Amino acid sequence: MSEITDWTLVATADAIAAKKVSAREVTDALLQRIAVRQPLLNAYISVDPDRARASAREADERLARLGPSGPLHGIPLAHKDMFYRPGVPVTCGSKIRRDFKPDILATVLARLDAAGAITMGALNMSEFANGPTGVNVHYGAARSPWNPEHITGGSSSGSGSAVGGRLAYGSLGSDTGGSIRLPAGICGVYGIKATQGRVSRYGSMGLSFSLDNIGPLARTARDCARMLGVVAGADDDDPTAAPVPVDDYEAACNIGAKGLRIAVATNHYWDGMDSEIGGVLENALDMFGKLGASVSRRTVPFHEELRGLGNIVISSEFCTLHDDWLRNHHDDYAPLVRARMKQGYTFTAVDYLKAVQVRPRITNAFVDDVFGDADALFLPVLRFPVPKIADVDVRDGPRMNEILGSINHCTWPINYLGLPGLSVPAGFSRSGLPVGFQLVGRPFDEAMLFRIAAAYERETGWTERRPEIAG
Amino acid sequence: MHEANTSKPLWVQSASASIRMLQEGRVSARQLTEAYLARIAEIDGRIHSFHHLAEARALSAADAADREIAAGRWRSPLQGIPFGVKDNYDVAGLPATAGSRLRSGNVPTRDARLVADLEAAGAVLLGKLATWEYGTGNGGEYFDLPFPSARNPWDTSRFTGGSSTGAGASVAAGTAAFALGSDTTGSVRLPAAACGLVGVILPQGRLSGHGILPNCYSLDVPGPLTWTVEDAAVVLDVLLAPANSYRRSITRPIAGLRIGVVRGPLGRFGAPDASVEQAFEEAVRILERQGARIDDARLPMPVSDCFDVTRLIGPSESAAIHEAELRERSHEMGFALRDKLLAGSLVRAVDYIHAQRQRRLMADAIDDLVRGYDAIITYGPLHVAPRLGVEPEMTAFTVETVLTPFNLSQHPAVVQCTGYSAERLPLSWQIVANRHDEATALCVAAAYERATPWRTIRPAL
Amino acid sequence: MTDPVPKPTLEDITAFARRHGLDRLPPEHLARMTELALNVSELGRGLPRPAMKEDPPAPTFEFSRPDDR
Repeated sequence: MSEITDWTLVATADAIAAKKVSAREVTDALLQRIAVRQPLLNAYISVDPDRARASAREADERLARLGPSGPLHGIPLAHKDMFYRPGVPVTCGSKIRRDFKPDILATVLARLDAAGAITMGALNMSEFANGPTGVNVHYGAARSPWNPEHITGGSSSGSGSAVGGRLAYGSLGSDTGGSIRLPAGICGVYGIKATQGRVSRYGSMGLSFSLDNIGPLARTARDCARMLGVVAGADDDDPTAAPVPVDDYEAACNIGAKGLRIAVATNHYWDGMDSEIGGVLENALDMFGKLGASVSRRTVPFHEELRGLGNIVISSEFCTLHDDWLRNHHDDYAPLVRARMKQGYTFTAVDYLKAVQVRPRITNAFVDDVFGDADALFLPVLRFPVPKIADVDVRDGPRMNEILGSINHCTWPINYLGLPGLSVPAGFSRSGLPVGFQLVGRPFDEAMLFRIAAAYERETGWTERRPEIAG
Repeated sequence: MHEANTSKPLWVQSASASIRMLQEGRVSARQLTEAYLARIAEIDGRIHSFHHLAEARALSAADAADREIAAGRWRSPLQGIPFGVKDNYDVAGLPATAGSRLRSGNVPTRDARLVADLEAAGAVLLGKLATWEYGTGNGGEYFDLPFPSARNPWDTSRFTGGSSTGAGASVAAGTAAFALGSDTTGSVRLPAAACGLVGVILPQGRLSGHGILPNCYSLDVPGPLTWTVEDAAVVLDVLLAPANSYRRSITRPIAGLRIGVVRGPLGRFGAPDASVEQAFEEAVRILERQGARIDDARLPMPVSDCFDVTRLIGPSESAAIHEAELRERSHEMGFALRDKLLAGSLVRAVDYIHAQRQRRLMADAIDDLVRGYDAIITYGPLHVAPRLGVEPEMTAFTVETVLTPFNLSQHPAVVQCTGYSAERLPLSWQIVANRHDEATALCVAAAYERATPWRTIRPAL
Repeated sequence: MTDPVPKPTLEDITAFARRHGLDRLPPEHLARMTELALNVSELGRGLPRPAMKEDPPAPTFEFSRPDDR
């Protein structure tokens, strides 16, 4: 019998609702595991056992009196340390915010609370969400649960590590250039960056006003779908949260992939593909055929432009937010973060305006071209085996842009397009580290991505393999 | 048949008076258009309100209007009424030079949306009105454009206000019954103020900007300039077809309306001219005597701060829009446009984004202020029309105004005449309403206008 | 925000113009741009910064949604 802490989120929620196990038992089991694994993985910045136990107790009492408050009743989650709750410290992975206590509640946290979820603590992240490796000079790198010498990916590094390492049943992260999809794919779990505007950003630390997204990481397609369903939707406090109805993502997981059309990008995203990783991805594509979906290979447009345009928008907006801190707290930034930020000062308003102005046109052209005869676009997450932490810790050295660019090569362009992207576990390399792929869809078509992913997961069972670490 | 009123020329009366004459059969559309064309022939050599006049086209449109009227077909109250549009509007088949060498020979093939709408409504287009180059400027006059600068009909040695210079001159002088201009940080309301007219702007999206040369996407709005508030109401009724006609709304009394009077803070700008201030205070008393509940109020920030924010947003966006012209043809531009585009090219992305963040905060705070009232009253420009080309009064006129806050916040605003100075230069104020409630602003303006004699006085050209 | 700003030289601005596609501006316009540069820079740096990081910008452009097309 597997341990409670290896169950899926959905199975655990069902068990709690059916009173087969209490929220308190689940939380205690998880706290025990955290005590053992946290020193190995450094997924958490801070754990709050008292608060977690108190919440679990409340959850059990409420369940007894009134039944479950929602689909996440009693489920212990942990989130990237960038979501605001009054009086609770939010470090944003930085030194500058180490003692920051907000006085507002993030909408996504309020929605998870209403669904009955419990919070275990705050998860590690790249400083100010800036960085695709998961290295952090202030709190230490988060480590891969599959091999702690290897990266988790970032910037939602602790989210990938905790969910993959079974230290939380799910986690909210953020993604501006790949920061949910990379740690998800690298840590062998699901992660979705939904359509721009699908999830409210009220009460969360910002990086780029135009390109930030919030979304869940979780171990199975259904787990991830459930979490997205809870947090998605319009919000009076966030005018950029789209008033588009929220689909039933969990129900989509049941439909199956028969008859669906999957396009594989053969250019740019496949450049320099490692032969072993390519082999794993080809196996995944063969599997789609078995599921009754058709696979076509094609080139996709605009990747040259998307890199540069995304860079202009993100670095200008990031720079804007950090402008005054950069002047007054210059040395409190990691050199890497500071260097990346300084690029933002070189852009003019005209550069920025042009980059923002062309976004709808490029997106519409891309969608018309690619999704004219495909339901989803298949992209890699990484084109090479998951690197070691030591190999990517380049700080602000001369290879900074090259190394970081190679890591977020496949994820970055999707943010500028604003399209939804779901990372899906697809197996492991010979070295035992996860391999993932991305499914990218039309605007607000997250249900399609879950539909394909869940069908693939049923057939392959990658999510059942557990990392071999103590605890 | 038609009997024209020969006691005074037709262009002297308001568009609404002409409408009544047309509807009563006392004048034909042709006669009306001929009267305006005659007026143009008489004085436009002195005030230069038109860049491109389309006489034959106008007469043909007037004849078509008359044929329809004879057949009993009225498209709208504006049928047969002659108007002009700023030369940054596209009219199919007419030059659209936007006052610039850069566009000489440019003849669009499609009408701007508002032009199409007005012509579909039967109004008679006279031609393209004078504008500062590309519908923008820096407050200065350099006499370096391919057209003679428009002159203020109240004193032809003076400035009309810009950038919708010809729109201001034409409606005041009677070379058009009404005009359409465009406003980014004041370009409808400044000429309305300087030329003693009514100028109206609405939040973006209410009136279509399609077919108008853009200046700054996040601030540009089109807007009418008219002689009376009723005229503005009729034009907006035709363009917007609101559920409740503006023309009927403006007859409502204003007793009981809560009006906030905002005299500042003016920040860097200093005090208004004594004549402007005096007329303002007298106008407030007039509203009070009509039963409005007057409260003193203040802008949530010094108005010069709002102006500073527009100085980062406007030039940057213009530089992005007109990048190719700056790159290749800077020597063909007038000084004002070139200077603005050069400056806009220098703005850092970081500072532009900060300006838009500051803008949002200012817009929210201004909205909080306006929501506390049915309408607020502010100064428009702080000074009377300056002598053309004379500094520092030219730039002071354009810069020192209370117009920019409402571009940032996107509230409907009406500028109207509050009298005349000792030198017979128009004085003005501005009425601002809540975002979907321009009818209230028009209503207050109409009540004030009814209680004053200013509309009986035309420039003595 | 009150640190002294070095005056840009014609050389600085010529290099800037080259980097931003404005290398075909005639010398007198580059000179004018140099004159404007300090002013623009001070205007930008002098603008008050919103206190809360969470304060987003006013929308510059609408991101079209599928049903808008």
